[in-house]
Amino acid sequence: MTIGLAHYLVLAAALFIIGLIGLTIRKNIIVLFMCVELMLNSANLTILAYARQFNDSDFHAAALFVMVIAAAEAALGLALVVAMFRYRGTADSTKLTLLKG
Amino acid sequence: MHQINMNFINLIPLFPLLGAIFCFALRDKKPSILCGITASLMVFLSFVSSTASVFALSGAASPAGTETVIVSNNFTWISAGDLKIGCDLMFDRLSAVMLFVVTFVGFLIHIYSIGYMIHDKDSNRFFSYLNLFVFFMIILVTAKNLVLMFVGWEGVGLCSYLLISFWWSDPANAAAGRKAFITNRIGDFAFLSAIFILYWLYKSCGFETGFDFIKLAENFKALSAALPSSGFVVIVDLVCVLLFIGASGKSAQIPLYVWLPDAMAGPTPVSALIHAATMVTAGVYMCVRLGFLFAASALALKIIAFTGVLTAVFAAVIAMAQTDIKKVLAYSTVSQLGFMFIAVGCGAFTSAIFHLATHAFFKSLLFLGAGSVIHSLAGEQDIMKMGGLRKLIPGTFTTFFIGVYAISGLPLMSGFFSKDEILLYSFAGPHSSAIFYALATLASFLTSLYMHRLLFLVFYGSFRGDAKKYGHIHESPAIMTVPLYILAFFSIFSGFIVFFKSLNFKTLLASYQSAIAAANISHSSEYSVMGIALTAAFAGLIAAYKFYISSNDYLSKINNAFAAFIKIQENKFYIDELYDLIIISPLKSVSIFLHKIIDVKFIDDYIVGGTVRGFKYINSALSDAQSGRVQGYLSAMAAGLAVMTVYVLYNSIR
Repeated sequence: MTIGLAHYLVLAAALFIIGLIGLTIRKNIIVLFMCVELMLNSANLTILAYARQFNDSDFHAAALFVMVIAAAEAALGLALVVAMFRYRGTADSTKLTLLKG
Repeated sequence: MHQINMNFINLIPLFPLLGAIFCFALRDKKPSILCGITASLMVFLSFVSSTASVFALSGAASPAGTETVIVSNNFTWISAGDLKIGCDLMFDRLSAVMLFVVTFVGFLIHIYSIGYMIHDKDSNRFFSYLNLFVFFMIILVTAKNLVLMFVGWEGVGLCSYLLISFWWSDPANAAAGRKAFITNRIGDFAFLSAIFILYWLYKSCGFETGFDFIKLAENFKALSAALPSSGFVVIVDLVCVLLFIGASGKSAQIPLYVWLPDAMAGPTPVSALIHAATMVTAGVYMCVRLGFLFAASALALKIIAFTGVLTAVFAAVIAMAQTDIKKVLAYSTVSQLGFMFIAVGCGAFTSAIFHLATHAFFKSLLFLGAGSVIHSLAGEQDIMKMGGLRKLIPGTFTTFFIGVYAISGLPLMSGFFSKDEILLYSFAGPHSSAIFYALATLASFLTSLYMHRLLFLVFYGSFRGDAKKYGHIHESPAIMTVPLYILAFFSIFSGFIVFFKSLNFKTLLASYQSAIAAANISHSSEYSVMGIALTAAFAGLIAAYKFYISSNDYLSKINNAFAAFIKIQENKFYIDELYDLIIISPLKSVSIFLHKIIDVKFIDDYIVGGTVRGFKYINSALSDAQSGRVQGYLSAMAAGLAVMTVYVLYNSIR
């Protein structure tokens, strides 16, 4: 059995959905970050799968961009989480309801 | 009808309007004599200009056999389709008589009011209303068409309301004002209906009159030819009866008279001007002005005469048992207005206006005299607490005495001539009837009786009031007594106008009189009516003398014999209570039902409140959705995304 494009796409979709569900149901913000990373990686996986399919190296640059942005986002986001934990004493996302109308 | 254009008759209503505006602008300022003087001056100027109009009218040459009218066609007020109603004034001989009464008596009462109202903190407002009243009354009597007349009609009603409840801080006064206003609305409804039917009547026969009195009268003959006679009579009867209902509201006839006695809550000069001399006679004026219509409706004339006779007797009977000096005069006014309507109903329009004019003098004299008595006694109105005032306030006594004699119809006073004419026409006029004559004579006897009762109880005998007050009784100042003297002069002499053939009083209102076939009245019936009228008047005087001066035995005997009747009489035959029971209470129940059930429960609670509650519910649902939990939003977004994805996929597969 050769592993083709469809397998990659199914894997990426599965990862994306796991990340999305984790993002909606988990409470710890650190875990939420991990879920976001999972979704970013699933997107990356899709991009690279198509790059391979169409033999177009421009997509590689896009994947690199995503990784750089993910790294920067993780650094900034973790700093924010730490700052918020110090300020509010919790990292539980359900306690953060300042946007309540 | 010969019309000449003279715009200066516009000045007659203009002056009082300016005075009203001026005084109203000063209403919150400190009361000063300035407003009183300005207001009086404005009415005087109005009097001068109406006198000038009289000269212009009599000087104008007119083709033989026609009556001259001064008109002022100012501008079109209402223009709807081919209906055009002008804001136009006219001045004919009928208006001249009315204007003389309104402006001259009005002027004297304004002067009197300066003295009467000088201590009142709102006297500026008072003079503003009083001038406004004169303005509307002038509009009423000089209006060239029925609709403009209705404006004056409503205007005087408004001023009457404002002045009755002038001292509104007492709820009783405010209630009296409301009663007058609402009772008049009933009459006005009938009046308006008559106007509408009249429009339809003329319009359906192709006449476009704009309600102009002159054109209405001119086209009336052609109208009666254009319609089938039976239908025409029914419509004219209907219009006339409705107009008379309107008149009976304003002129306090049965069954709408109940507001007038309560209207005495206003200041006394108001009672004299509005509720005795001018406004209440507007109904009589309207009937005479539209005399050409009434003359064509025998049914309406019968109803008018019958109502007049009934009112004259009924009000006189009530007047005999009243103890408030102003209430006696109020019922007396109702009774005298009844006399005027007897004259109208018997087709003697000239006599109605004659009695209107003489009544204006002696009744305003009596009211102002009563005001002077009340003023001297520092506000006391109960005649049972008066007595023996003859020596203490001689000026007021003399003039009041003259007023009583004039209204009683004793010889050579104005009331004698005018009342005699009415009795004569009810006896031998074109629409006379023995019952009307007998009852009118009875009313004239009762008039003499209750007026002398008033005179004797107030001015003769000994003082029955608080002994402490006795020392403070003083004559009113000259500014109040001089108008009394002038009015007394006219109360005596205004009746003599019948002797001046050159003034032509009998034909003064010829154009109105001619509508009724001239009656042949023999001299013998003239003298016998006069004799009986005099007997009735003297009988009243003697009866009152026996009862109230010479001995109290008769009175107490009668009081004992008819105790139950007198109790009813004192309570005005419980008419107010009856109206309360059959009209006001059911109306109140319906109003309460409409208020509590329909308005509060159904409209406010279900419809308005229901809408509000619905939106509140939607609001809280939407507000709950915005929980502030980002993950909630995310799941909603994901769900939406999923639905869209499924939809797109489903469509692409299909």
